[in-house]
Amino acid sequence: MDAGCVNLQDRFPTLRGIMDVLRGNVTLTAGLVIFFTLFLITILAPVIAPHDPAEQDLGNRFASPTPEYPLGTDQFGRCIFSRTVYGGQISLAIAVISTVACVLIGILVGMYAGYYPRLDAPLMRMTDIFLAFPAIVLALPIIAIVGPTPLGIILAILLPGWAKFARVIRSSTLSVKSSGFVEASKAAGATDTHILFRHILPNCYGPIIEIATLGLGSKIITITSLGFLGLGVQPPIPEWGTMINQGLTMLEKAPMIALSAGSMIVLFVLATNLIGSELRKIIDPRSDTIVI
Amino acid sequence: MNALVVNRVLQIIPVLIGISVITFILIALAPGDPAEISLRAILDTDNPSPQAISLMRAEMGLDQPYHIRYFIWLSRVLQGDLGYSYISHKSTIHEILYALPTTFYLATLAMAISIIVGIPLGIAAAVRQNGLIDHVCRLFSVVGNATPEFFLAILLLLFFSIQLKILPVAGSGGIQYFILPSLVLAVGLIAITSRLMRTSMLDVLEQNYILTARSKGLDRGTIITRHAIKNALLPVLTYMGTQFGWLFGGAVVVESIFALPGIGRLTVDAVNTRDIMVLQGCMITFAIIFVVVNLAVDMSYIWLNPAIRYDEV
Repeated sequence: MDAGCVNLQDRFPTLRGIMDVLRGNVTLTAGLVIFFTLFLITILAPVIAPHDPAEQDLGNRFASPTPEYPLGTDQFGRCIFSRTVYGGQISLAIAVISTVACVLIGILVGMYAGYYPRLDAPLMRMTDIFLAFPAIVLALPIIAIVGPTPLGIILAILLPGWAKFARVIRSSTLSVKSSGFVEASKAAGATDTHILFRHILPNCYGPIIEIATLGLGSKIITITSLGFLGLGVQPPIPEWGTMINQGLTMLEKAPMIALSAGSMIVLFVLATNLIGSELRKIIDPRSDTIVI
Repeated sequence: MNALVVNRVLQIIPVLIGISVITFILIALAPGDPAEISLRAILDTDNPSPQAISLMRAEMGLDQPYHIRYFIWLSRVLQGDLGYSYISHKSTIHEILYALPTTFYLATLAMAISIIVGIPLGIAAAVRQNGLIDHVCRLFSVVGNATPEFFLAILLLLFFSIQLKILPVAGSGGIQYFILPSLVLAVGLIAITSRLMRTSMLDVLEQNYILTARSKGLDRGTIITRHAIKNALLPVLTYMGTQFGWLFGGAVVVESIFALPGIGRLTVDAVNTRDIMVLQGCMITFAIIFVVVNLAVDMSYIWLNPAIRYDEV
């Protein structure tokens, strides 16, 4: 195995192997626990939430926290706790779908650019173009064209999002390409496609998982930013960014609306950053990650 | 070195062409007839006659196939004609030039705050590795990175404007309207800068010339201030340069919260009102600022450190 590239499959062969890594790494464990807890809360929202997120109790507006309404109620008397629990569903779903799509495009563009020297310059210049806009600047026109629907948001994230993935996967491809087993496989008469998907891709899994985790966090920030700007999923569907937008105007009266949704976002992004930077250390122990 | 510079400058040409193509495609896909929209702006009427619209379509080249439309559009953009705002009926260029100074001011303030706070923080963290400041610095960078700007803004608003009532909630005017927005923008950058400065300092402190200085009997303070900081600063400052363009992206959200009339808010308003002409102008402006900033940073890097391997840039 090439020394410069750790194969995660070799590193985590069994459940016991995974447990060993986790036992020695508090940060990674904490990140994973927060991450999966938030996912579980979101998926199990119908079980956890005491109220329907859209259920209005107009006689009980801006209520303080009570056992019935653990975080109080908002301007329509809706349960803030229930809305916060439900609020992750659409954001997390969009984040996962768009991250997977970014990874797939990134793999295709990155591997081909890294493997075929002829394709490298054109593909990378194309990538540069998409990296020349701040992500939100490319996302906004897509929303203007497609509209603030889940599909529009996914496209708005995908268009500027895949480029960074392509960059990382290209550089992993370049480092794997020159290893002995790729040469051997070539000598044995393997086709390029076979080498790309059977030899190079599995050796890039580590960096891919790492950037995908970090990407999940940054996509949550973009999605909720769009929601906050009023360009995300439209009310009455509960969504963290939209909740914060509504909470901003009622900051004095009901700070809980913005604070509860905001804390969920911070916790989620924190978890992805912790997991991503710890994975980075496992993959390349000499590096000190700067999470961006 | 001259070849490097020329090569780097030539590299921006395909990027600029690509930016123009993407902008053109997005504008062409946008709903609404640009001819009708422009006529409404120019004639200041809601219902221009069909004849006028078809004349305008011909004049704007909208009856041509897409590839020809692109070149017509491009030549207009190159002449500085970005059309008229559908809402304010003013020229897009006018709107953008009016908004840019606010955003520049905001981004510069945020950059200054990050340098003033982030760099000393990183130095202090590196000097006493695993000490208290190091842990605080790490915690700050982890939490600072995970907090979206709009949420941080709300926390600061709650504290400074609602609890303490010492800073205005939103609006524009004097410097007091810029304090919270630039602070919000700066926090993310401080988180990165302090980490980067720390890593860079630790790197430098391991170098042989530091060992030499120490063996000469220099005290630690002199080694750090005279030898280490200067060398550690270069990569951090160049990195921060590239982040100037990123601050403009952050300004989109921050200006909307604090109601600052900059280009970020102009962009969001343009999306909300489907003001396609202003939107295209904003996109082009953002991209050009990004490209120019990165070019300037790379140039300064080549200029300051000719030993770099160019393919790493």
